[in-house]
Amino acid sequence: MEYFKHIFGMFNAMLSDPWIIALIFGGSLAGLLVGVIPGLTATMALALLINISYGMPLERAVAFLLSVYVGATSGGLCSAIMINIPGTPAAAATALDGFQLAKQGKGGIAIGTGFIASFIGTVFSILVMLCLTPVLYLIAMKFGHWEMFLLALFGIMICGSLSTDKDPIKGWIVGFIGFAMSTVGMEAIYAYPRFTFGSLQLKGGVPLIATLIGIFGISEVIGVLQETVPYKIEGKIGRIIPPLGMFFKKLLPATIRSGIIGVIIGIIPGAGEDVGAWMAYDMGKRRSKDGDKFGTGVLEGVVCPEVANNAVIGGAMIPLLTLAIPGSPPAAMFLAAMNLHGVRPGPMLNIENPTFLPMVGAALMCASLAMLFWGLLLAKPMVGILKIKREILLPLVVPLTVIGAYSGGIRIFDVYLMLFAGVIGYCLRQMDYPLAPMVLGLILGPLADVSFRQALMQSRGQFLPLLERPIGLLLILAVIWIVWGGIKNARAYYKKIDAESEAG
Amino acid sequence: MPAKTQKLAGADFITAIILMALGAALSVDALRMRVYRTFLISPGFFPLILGALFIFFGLFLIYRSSRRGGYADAARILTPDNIKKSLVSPVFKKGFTVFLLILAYVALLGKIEFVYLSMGYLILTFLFLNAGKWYLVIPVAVIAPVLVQLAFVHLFKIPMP
Repeated sequence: MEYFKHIFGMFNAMLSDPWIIALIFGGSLAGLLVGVIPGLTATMALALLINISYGMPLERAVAFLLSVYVGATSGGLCSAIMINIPGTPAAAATALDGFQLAKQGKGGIAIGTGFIASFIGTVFSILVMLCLTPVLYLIAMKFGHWEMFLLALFGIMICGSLSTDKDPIKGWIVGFIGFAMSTVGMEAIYAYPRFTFGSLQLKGGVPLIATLIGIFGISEVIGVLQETVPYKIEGKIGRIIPPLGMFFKKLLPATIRSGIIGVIIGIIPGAGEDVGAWMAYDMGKRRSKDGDKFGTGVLEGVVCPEVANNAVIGGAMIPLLTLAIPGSPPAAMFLAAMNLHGVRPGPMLNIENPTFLPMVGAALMCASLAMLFWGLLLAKPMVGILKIKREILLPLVVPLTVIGAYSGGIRIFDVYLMLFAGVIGYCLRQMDYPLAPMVLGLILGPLADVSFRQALMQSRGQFLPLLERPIGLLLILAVIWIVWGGIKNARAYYKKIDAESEAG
Repeated sequence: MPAKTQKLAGADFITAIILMALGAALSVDALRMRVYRTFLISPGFFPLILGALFIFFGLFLIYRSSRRGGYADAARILTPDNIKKSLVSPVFKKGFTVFLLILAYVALLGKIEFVYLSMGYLILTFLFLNAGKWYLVIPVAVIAPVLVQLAFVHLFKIPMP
């Protein structure tokens, strides 16, 4: 009861601070606008706007960044529906039915339904997060060094598997490259400089925010500008707000099912909003009475991915808050920002900063309300933004990425590193390598390194005592299961393309 | 061998070589790191494992791609003619020029005032990308950096490069 009082208290405190309200509405709008533009993702929105939060008190920074996150995750649906190009990867599944609806002149209804679904998805995930996180804090307290190492490894493996449907091995490789990048700089146990090549600036390690901006910002700008495909807005947008009776009567089962899927995918480290959306769409297609009509323009085909991709947000916060393991790439950006504000998520967070979880819950709740408000109010002007050429919008992002990278450490060196990371990100994208595992590797690398060595210190260099720990054993089995499944999937993928190539 | 499979196999083969080189470099450097009490808890232990993993993944990719004619395709990809053909393709040229413009922008940071540098970068990029009529895009290129500077320095109190 005390816990829920805390949450309502925090909610009231947020609503009584005009600055926080302004930041929530501003952040939500900024996120929506970034999300609408194809090529700019939620991760990029956070990367670009993170520097604004540096000088803010913690509550305002949390409220602002989470509003950007919620807004950007939802904003992608406008372009997915109106031009068949998802604004963010999270909205890719929405395009399948949304675009068909737009062609039938029901684009507005599809957008309105999408925003309502996104709101419900976020609220559902907040409730799950608020109920589940305190329980998981207790479980996380039982995790020792060995379990933390295995959890980091599990995160990389599952993220590598889920972020590419073709070849999970590519995801794993990229995840381990992230691990390797994280070893640059002074290591945490003996302060020994590793792979610094005599550079003083590299002794502090690879700057996380600058690297993420490079990987998600610069690589995206070059990639999108290189292959700009002209697009046109399909049909008239029409009415925005759908009949709410129909929404709750017909779409409720799909909403609940997709919310559950989204939260579960969110909890899985690094999986992200796009994975949640696709899984919910696929499940909707199989479970719905109108499953055979999916892809022809049914509202359920918009609701399933939109509820799920927003439900990932609250889900992704659960491992982030309890174990410092982000559930999605934008959550990784949020984690990086919180580290800068002196908050260290993990099992001890509840003791060190007991108001943080209620703060996140209240901020997400306000952010989802702001997103719904802007989404329904500004749907038409937001579609109008799509008329602006990407050749104008994307170059404007570059100075923002430079400021973002520079302001983290006030060093030009970080900007150079950002550009380098951008080139690596671009090359990996071109070769079909997913980038999310790399981000997760970069974040979890120090945890994996230190935990592994400390676990070995505790066991006096013996592996056998480590294998006797039940949670550890469970995680080892999970990793083996992921590797087994991944190899099977990769073999099936290659068999399929072999067969396709031979046939045609 | 089917074309699509062979193309993937060629790319896999090249990636495998790079990965193995990275793994070897990482391992060698890790083995040179100082040992405290035992190697298992020393700074080089974790990078050594990663190096070994990269070599393992490299070998796995080589094995997989070789079964699909990866070596032959990698050799074809890396012929001077093929490289030249890729370099002169319009998509590559466009991407490379966009990159060069960003590189020049970043290289000149701190040497030219941020606002003027950003204006120059945006004007050149807009003109190169043929983003629109010059009398429309040049005002955007001039106004945007001024607004960004004003917002970040005065509103958000963030220092400029």
